[in-house]
Amino acid sequence: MISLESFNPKETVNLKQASDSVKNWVRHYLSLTDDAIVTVSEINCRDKKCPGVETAILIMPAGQPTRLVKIQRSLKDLQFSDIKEALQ
Amino acid sequence: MTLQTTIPVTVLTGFLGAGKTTLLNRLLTENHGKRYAVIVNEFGEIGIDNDLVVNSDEEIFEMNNGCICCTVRGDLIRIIEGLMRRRGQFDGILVETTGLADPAPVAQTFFVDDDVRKNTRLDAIITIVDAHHFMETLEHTHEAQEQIAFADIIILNKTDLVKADQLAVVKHRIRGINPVASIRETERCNIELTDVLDRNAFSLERILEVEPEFLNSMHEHEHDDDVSSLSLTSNQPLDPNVFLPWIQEIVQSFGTNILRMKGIIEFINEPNRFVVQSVHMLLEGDHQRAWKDNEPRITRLVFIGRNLPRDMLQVGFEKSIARESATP
Repeated sequence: MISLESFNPKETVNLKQASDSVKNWVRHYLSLTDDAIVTVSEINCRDKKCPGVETAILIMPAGQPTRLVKIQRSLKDLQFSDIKEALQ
Repeated sequence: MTLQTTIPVTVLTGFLGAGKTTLLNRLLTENHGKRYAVIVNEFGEIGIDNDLVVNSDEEIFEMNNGCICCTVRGDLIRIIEGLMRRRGQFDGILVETTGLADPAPVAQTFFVDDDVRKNTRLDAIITIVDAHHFMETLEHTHEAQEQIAFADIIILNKTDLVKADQLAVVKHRIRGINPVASIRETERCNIELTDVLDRNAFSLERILEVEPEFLNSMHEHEHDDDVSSLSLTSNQPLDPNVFLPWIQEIVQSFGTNILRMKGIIEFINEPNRFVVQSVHMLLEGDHQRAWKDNEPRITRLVFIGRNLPRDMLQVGFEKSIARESATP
């Protein structure tokens, strides 16, 4: 599920960069203020109820309900166009 | 792996009446030299007016399609982010859960995101057990078993209300579910707070320091509990090229039922111990200190879970034992 410390440090660094990019895209696209919280998690659950690798984004604007957006792509494969499409 | 700049977070679980409120009141009123921000649940009974007590309204998000190992607590993310703006006013955070809560979403919240992890570290999951009512609670609620299973530290409270032989039965039952947690016996939660807070019990570095018995020989505990444990050991080193892909596959495939896993591994031709742990499908592992000269090089892996695929785990573990001889 949520990627933790990878056994491969290089991969961890890559995921951190990808995560930061996704957060920046979300903040930019939704014009979020600094007090909004955005979390990004790559999920790879093999439970039968779950669809496999996807990226889950929690968007928490101050004083507003939290929005959960899920994109069926791995974190490192996400492009700005994927974020735009998911947020529309 | 442990960053001292991060704020330690202690998760407090336990059934109604076990003693959570007693411990929280002590934490907030006694002079123990540290200040804790306390996040209490909506049903909490804290009657203390303190600007570091924050009420939470449980907001669970299923990050995937509904299995418990993909859920986090959105309310905690918001509250902790708010607390981080008051950094310097407190030394640690304690999260109280409701008596019936599954600890998994709370624990997983602290691994959801890089920024959450940068600010906080899960210090320990503490479960308070009412020794007097434990056996009865265990029979009627599966959450009680899960709270025992997830714990790094178990406060066995109200020991004055049971006889020695009853207490022994309770401890044996607890050990059957969770053989690796540290157990502290108390009356009215009269424990030194420094014994359970900021212990780094969740950290890989401390897996075995908290509970040295982990390294000792353990036998299987057989009970009718849904949750049980499996301990696998080897006197021969493992092959990392076989073990690491296998353990990742295991927690991803069976993580719904594997509540916790902890292990210390000797890899072939590797001077340092490798430690590993998981909560459901969250897995972390790292090289630790070097094996000491007089230290038995025993690999031990403990799974705690529901309907564990015991034969599969046993066979996979044995296949991970290195076939080649270690280089002198």
